Amino acid sequence: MQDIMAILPLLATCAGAILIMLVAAFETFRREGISILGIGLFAFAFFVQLTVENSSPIMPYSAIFNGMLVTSTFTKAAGLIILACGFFSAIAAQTYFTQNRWFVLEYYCMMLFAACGMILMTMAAELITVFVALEIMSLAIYTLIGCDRRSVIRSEAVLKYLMLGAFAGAFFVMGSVFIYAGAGSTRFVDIARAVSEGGFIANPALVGGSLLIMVALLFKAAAFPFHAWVVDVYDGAPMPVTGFMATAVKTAVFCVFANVLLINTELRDGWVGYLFWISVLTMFVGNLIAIGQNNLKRMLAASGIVHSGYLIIGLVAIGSDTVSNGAVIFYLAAYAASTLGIFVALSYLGGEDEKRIRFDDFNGLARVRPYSAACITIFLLSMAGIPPTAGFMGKFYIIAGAFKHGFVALGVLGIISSILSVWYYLRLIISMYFREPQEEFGVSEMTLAPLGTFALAAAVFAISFIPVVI
Amino acid sequence: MSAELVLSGAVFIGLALAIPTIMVLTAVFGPRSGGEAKNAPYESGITQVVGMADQKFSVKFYLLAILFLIFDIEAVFMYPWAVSLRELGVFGFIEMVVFILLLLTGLIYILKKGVLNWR
Repeated sequence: MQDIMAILPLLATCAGAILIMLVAAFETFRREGISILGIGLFAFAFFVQLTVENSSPIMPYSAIFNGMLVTSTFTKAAGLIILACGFFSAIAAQTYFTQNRWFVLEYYCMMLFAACGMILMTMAAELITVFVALEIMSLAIYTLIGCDRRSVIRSEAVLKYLMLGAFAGAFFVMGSVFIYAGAGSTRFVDIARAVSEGGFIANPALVGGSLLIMVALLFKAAAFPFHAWVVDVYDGAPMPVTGFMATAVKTAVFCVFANVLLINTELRDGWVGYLFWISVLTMFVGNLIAIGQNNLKRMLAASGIVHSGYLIIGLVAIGSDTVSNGAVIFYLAAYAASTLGIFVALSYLGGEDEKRIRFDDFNGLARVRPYSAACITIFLLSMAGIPPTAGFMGKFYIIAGAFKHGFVALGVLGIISSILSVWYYLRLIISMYFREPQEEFGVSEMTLAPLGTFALAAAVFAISFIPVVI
Repeated sequence: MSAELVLSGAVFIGLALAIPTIMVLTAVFGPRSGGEAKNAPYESGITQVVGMADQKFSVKFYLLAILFLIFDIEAVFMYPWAVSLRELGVFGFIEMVVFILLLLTGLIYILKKGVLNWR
């Protein structure tokens, strides 16, 4: 019974998804009704997650379902971030569909299924469960990207993501097989025991298996050697879906990543040397890609790669003591609020068929729509890490954690990368404030998305007050 | 390096070398025969390929096959459950009811969407 109580948010999300699926099949609601239902179900699941009692400390392994799943304050916080992302993406989608005149009834159903997979993924404490969760999430996300079937660019994006994602899934399964061969179990706890008894390097199956799993996770996290798909796929996806992918998927993947690395200190130490370079290269390659972009959505995609780099800094220091988990989850929350904020704002400012998408298209936005421009500025400053925002606090915790655990070079490189990133974030601010407006920025109907943008702008400040011990 | 690892490595490397070698040798020394029927894309069945590759074609069979697969797996899953029903007791029974109800909602969905109408 305790087990069932612990996964109530998961059950709520899943039941909501099935409800919307049936409603969509019987066509009882049209677009507006089903949008409100979707938003409401995300809000409901969020409150369920909020009320789930979770007194156990941050980590390792208060297991439920015979050690298949774990719950902790870490997974609870991740679940809250994912459901909040879903809530605001659903708000963005409602406006987006009003403006773009296409709609699929199953859209919110797929979003809820994706959230379901993500929550399961954060709780997973066993390789097969991780794989099942990963596939539930990925299949739903593929469908979401390609749900506008008339558009060629969406089809291209979904094909690229589907092919590469299937590769990543195959890598994960192969890695699980090797680890099972090496450790005799797929449970994280038993793998940890096998590693500490037999040693990590001495066991080639474990080394190979963890390499393959690392490849799959780095792919899903959009980290350096496997980042090439990000820009095209994020650019091709509809705006609310891009926001959802950039934030919620990243949260889920980094939770699993942290869980895998936390298995055992020996396993982690075997990887820290490589993760150091992966993190540095991810940050700088992401910056290089972002600087060259003229298209706002592609720039945001590339900046997502950079933020993966910062998160990997957090992972390098993770587990040296358990609280650096707090820094990672804080950074995820700060990043989610600011990135999703921009995507929600773009869903109503982008116009029909996302016609305003380049930097120049937003020239003089501050004259015509001062409040929206101010919100976007707040989000951009938060992503760049300028003081009173959550993004600054997130970077501060991550880099302070790196310094504290002796990764001084990594911390310094993180700061340099953060300074570099100001270049492309400021470009949009300059366009919005210091150029003459060329158009009206007319928006067909004012709907929920502006409200969501203001709420997220407030959240960017509110999140920075959450205390984290480093 | 354990003995098994060296041995299995040797087998894999040996196979990786032997297979291309045999393929090259066959191409060099093997007898060749041509002919119209042999050069056709399909030896039997579709003898003449019509149109371009990018034309639209029906995916009805594919959809039905996927749906069949789902319910097939459901049926397969019920065998181990049926064998160990006594040990699992009421809990196992409820689990199975939930599982079948979930599949039932899926079935209702595809029925309402008209996937099973053969058009």
